[in-house]
Amino acid sequence: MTPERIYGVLLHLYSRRFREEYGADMLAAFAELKTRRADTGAAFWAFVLCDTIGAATRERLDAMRWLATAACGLLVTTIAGDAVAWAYRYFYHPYFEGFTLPVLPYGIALGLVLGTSIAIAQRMLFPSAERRARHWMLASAVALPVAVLFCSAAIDRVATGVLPIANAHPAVFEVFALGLAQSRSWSDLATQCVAMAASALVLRALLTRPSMRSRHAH
Amino acid sequence: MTPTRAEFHVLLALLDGPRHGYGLMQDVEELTAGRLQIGPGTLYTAIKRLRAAGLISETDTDDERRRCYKLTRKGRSVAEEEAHRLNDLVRVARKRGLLPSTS
Repeated sequence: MTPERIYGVLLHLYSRRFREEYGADMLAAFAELKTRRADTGAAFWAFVLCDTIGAATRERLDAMRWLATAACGLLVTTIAGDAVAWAYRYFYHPYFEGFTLPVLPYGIALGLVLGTSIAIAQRMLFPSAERRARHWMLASAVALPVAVLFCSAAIDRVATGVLPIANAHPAVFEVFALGLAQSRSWSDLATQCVAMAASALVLRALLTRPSMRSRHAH
Repeated sequence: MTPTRAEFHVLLALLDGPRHGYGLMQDVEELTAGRLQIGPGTLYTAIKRLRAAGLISETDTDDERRRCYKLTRKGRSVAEEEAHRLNDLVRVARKRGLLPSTS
């Protein structure tokens, strides 16, 4: 096996996208490095291995930033949804018995929270040139369904333990899936999902528009 | 964006003009008198980040087999900023007696 072939195998430690973009250049740089180095023994290979493992780890972590963005969006949305549900139960009064929150505005409100938190996390984690890329879509694709399903889960459990009145309230799954909105069917849940996705996408379009303008200006 | 050590050295190497990958590796080694050696992995992950941040860009070259990179205006100003930051640090180190005074 030639050194170039060995290095070609090592390149598989990087993500496929990175390999496709820079793999050929890296192989060429490695070939030149090997040709011009007097010593290509154990020390040379130790240097190449350390360089590859370190750089591939950093590159993999770098490629996972969209997941961190999704986690931030998910966390903030879950907390916001839980806070609303918790406040409702804490201040519960028989007067509110007939009070329901319509599914659509509740979904839109959660979508706005999700979109904003993902956008802020993205601003902190990605350089400007990457913000408009598919990372936002990836982050939303993970955060959106999970946020809908798990909204109200965390604080519901805490509230059940801390607040006796919470025991008399809806089962965990109902709060899980539907939060405050008093919907009782899968179609309501689907409506909430669609409302969240639509409002998050509208928000995304509004937030990315100025940076597109600045790109055209350059 | 605050460049890492390897990224800052790549920016410094590009101040002299466009370079290809191996040329950058050689320049960094020369600039640091052999104290910093970067391999292809470190170099191209740095290039990816610098390109994404708009600090360097690809430029045309006669050699079709390899890509050359040049510093952008933003890259130059980030390199200047980092150089000032390091200069301030050296001044503090000098003041506190960590480095000999130049006068």
